[in-house]
Amino acid sequence: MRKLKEKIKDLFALVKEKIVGLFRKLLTWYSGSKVSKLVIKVWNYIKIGLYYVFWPFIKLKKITYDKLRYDQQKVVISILFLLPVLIGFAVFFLYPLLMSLYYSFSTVQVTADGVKAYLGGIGEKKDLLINYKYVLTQSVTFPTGLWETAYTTVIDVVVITIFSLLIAVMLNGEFKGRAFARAVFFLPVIFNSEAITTALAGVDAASSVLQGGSGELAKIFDMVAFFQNVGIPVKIVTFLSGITQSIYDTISYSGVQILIFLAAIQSVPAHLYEAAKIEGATKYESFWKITLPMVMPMALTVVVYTIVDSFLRSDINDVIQIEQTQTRFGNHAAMSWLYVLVSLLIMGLFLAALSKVVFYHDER
Amino acid sequence: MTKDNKFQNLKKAAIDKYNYIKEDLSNPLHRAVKLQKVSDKAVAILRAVIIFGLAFIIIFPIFQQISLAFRHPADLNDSTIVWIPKQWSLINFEISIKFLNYWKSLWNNIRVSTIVTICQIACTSLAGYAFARLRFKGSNILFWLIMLTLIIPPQAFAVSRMLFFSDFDIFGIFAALRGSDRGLTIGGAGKDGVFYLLSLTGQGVKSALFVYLFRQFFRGLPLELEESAQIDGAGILRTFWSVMLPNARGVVTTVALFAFVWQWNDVYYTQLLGVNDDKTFPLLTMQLLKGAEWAQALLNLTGLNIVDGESQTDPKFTALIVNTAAFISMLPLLLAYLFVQRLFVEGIERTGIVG
Repeated sequence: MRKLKEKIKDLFALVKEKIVGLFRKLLTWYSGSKVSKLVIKVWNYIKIGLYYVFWPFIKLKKITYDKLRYDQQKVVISILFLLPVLIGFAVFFLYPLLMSLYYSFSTVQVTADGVKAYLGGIGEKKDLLINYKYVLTQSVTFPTGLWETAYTTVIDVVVITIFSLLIAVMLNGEFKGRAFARAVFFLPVIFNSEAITTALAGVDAASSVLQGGSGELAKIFDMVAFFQNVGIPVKIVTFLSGITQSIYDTISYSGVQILIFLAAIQSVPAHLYEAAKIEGATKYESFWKITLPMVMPMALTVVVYTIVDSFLRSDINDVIQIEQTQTRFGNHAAMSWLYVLVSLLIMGLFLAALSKVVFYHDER
Repeated sequence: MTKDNKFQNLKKAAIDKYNYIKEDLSNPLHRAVKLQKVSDKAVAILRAVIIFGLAFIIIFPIFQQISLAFRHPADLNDSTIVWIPKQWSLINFEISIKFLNYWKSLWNNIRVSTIVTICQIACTSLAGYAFARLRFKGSNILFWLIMLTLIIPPQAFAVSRMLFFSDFDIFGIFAALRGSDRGLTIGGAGKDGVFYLLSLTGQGVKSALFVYLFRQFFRGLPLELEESAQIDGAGILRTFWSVMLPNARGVVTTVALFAFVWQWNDVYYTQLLGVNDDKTFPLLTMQLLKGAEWAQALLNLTGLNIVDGESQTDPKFTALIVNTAAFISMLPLLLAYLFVQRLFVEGIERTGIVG
């Protein structure tokens, strides 16, 4: 066996030597021959040509950019770096946003030669709020749906923020299998796919296959029925089972938040903890007195992200989508704007509440 | 006798120990140390239980999916099979691959996600660096304007965006160039260039978040690094390329992973731009969605006679197929994650999102 290994090694070495030797031979031949001189000559001509082609630009750089002070150069480069983002922002974000605001006040019709929007309706009597009135009074599902979304979002934000902070604290400590635990906890970030949720919700695959046809077997593992039979009040059982069922959702929606908190905790200077330990603080105390205040600024980011994410996931999107498929674009725009306003309102409330307790360790 | 003696000895030892501990605990310092040790242990156990439990909750559905995927359709109604299939079969995979148009859409997905990731990193890292270090008057306002794209959900102006894309024009330039009264049509079946355009201009999937991440990271790097590069004669571009960017490996990994995964899972933009096309340009997520919607109808129509005619109309069978399809459409991501997770988790440590 060993002999075979050595033989293979020798073979590889031989092949390598041969190839390297070949290249070396080629190189020596090339550097000595006329071809190399020709190539260098041609390249020099090309260089000169390129210089004259780009000459105006080089000259322009010399008389403008190079004359600037360093901090002025910084501004020029900064604008250059920001240019793509700013163009994208203006063209693909700001313009559609303003158009959508315009559409929300008007009746929109799509004709053969483009989109026509009539501000304040088509008829004689102009009413700017026509779409908003329709959406809030005539639509059956929208107002209640919006209210429900706002309600669940508020709960989501509180639960996910606290949960992700706790998990981040746990994942931060030293323990065996930490790398594994971290890898697992960020799995939902990958699997949190809208397509898969929708696809599987449509058929409810796993449960229908695992439970269907095996009624008795399923019942054995049915915790709810078991606890109810034992005699625990129904309310408590449903509350607990609700929590356990929503744990998976909570985990899968808090991946990014855990990430943000984890990074925040890691940037807390270690000497604070050391000082606290010497003064005799327990871990519990140092969490409340050091970790929490230090990560509080990041809680703002987490709250904003959670609100946006929660709104994006909510069922209200389907209600809004229906208006689009039925080409009532005015109503769609009005709905969207109400939806944005509500989400901004919730964000404002949370930020106002949090900004009173946020403490900035060192503001840069 | 000897047994009794032994018992007596044991008892004595126990009492001695008890007294010793009692005496020891009367010392407040010792008591505090003991308390600390006990509480540390309790916390460690509690943490282990919670983390193990949550990890189980996360991994369990994946195992469930794998187990279901290998199950032969004939065993669907067999209640004795819970985890390990009696008959191993790849039939679910075969059908899912057929209805997802798997190999073609996989290739498309990989291509689109990779190019989009590169575009996103190129665009957002430049913007993040400019916002962090190359500041000028008003750049903070610009930053918060860019953050608006994160805060305002893209659904809010879906229609106006859609209408705008079907008649794309900037001050009538394109219409004049084309010699007609209508602008360009952006998007449409098989035109994946839109994704690259959007992500190059910072309007891809959650680009603003990446700008934010890069800005926070570059703000955290020491100023001395930049100053020493400047003293050594490096220009601004040179400083960015050879000093700042190589230091940002962690955050680049994080952003790359997110950009790739989110583009892979993206439904919203693909639907809005209508890029997916079943025949010429299939994408995994859209195929999966459509497949789930029409699974029953499809199976009935094409009459895939796989299992003695019975399973065709069984709703559980379609459930099984959709489940397998979902599994194989996520499989490449899962495999890739296994390889990059170490880099990713390390990346978080060095991300330093907090500036």
